[in-house]
Amino acid sequence: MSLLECGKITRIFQPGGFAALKDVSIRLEAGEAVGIVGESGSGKSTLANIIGGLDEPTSGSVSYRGRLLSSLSREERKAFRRDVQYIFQDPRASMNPFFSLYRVLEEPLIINRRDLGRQERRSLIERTVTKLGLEKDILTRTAKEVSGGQAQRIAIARCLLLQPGIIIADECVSSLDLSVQAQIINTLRAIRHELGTSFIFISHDIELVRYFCDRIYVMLHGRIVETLDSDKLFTQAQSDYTRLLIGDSYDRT
Amino acid sequence: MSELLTIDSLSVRDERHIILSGFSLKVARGEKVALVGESGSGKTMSLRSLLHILPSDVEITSGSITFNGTDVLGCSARERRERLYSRIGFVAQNTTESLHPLMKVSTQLCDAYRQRHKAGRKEAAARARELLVSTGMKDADRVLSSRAGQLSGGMRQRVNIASAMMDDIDLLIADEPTSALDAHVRRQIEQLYARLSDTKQFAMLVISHDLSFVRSLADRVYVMYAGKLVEEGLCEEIFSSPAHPYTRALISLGNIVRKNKDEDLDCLGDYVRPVSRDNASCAFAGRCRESRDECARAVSYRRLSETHFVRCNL
Repeated sequence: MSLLECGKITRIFQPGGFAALKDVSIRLEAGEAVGIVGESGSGKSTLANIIGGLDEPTSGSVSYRGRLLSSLSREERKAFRRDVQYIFQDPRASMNPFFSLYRVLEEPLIINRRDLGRQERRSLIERTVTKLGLEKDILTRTAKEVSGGQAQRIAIARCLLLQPGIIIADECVSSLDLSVQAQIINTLRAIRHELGTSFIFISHDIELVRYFCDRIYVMLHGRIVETLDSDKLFTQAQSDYTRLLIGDSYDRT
Repeated sequence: MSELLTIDSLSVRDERHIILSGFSLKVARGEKVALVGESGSGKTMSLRSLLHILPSDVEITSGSITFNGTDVLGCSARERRERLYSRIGFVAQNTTESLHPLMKVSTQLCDAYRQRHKAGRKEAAARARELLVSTGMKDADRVLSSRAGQLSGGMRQRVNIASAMMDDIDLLIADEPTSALDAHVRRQIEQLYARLSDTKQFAMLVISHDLSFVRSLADRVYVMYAGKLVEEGLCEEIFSSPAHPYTRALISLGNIVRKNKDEDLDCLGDYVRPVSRDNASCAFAGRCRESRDECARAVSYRRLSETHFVRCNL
């Protein structure tokens, strides 16, 4: 049984309109990192939203640990939401600009970890941000007052605090400098190895996806055009589109 | 080569931080110059100083900028319009925001040109069409009658480039022209810049952190860190014998294709920290793998060759 499985998902936003996703099937095994590549408009983010329950497919099914998302009870759904966490492209857009970063981090704990007292929350938050290489005093600032790389690490901290089984990273480094990108990716790899977290890693950067993921789904115009093991990307890619995407990097190897 | 743009010892600051400190840069007529460095190093602020579009809490404290013989910092708004804005084309980083999504592309391309040159509708439209075609836009007529919001990211880039060339420019400035694009659109736009650089007479000043792009395009490269230049030189000097550890680090980043999955990616650690007091020691020392005691001493901008300069004691 896969950890997460999407079967023949189609998403049409307006009745009679064009399909953002057409018959998309993907699966994610426990501990696996799966990459989804494709250019803007290919349906990557729509798929990410459906996988995490932020949006519903027009037809098709999503199941989590063998159970259909639509059949989960209220409590089970809350547990699912806690277990599946997102990291988005623009960290600041997902944080209240008037909250201190401490409050940004504390809020999900107040909602999801009722068992923790104020002091326990504080020590958990401080431990987590220190582990991500941030200093504690940064927590008194707001999202606008820190750099993009720092804000992205706060977003990662927020996601780790709930100890999710699945992290959906949607273009989580594309707005950052190369050096900061590398830091964030190294951090995510360490999380993977320490905690065994599964990843759905969405990016238009096929080189990065090859490096980070075990398997790759290539999307074009709302369909999956190719699925392959990331180790075989450069040698066994069949579809013309995948070859177009790797064209440049392929020449450099 | 005769000089087109000279920025001389420019210092810029806001209330708390030094943004540029003694920053100097030259562009000769027809020359392709690149300015590289991470976010926070001051690349965009140097452009904004030149174009007189600094945020209101930021001020220029010393230095001069000369463009085509005009003193840019001292001239009147009218002179700035006539001698600066009509001779410089600017492609902003965010091409979505720099076009009105609901206005027709033809209007956005033609309006300013018609006013400035007292040109008729037909003349302006013909020029816009010709420039769009020169950017490799297929179906230029359909694009001209579309609204900008209906275009894809790559098409908006081309419209922006065409728009920057509407006037008879001496200098095209592009701020991170490829960073927000998908891999293969990025390749097309890179090729377009390379083609423009071969076919057009104007000079280019390109800001980018994409070094493979810079390498393919630029005659000369400036590398900046925390508001100061750390190295400048001819493109081949910078890429084949980089003298500053920061330049070497930037070049080594992004070789992800050759990375095995069991090794970490190279990174510099930390990020560019804003500087609040002018300091003659090396600002990069805290992140530099090669730093030694002498890095805390004053660093001068040394000359390595006629064209190659570096700010490093090692």
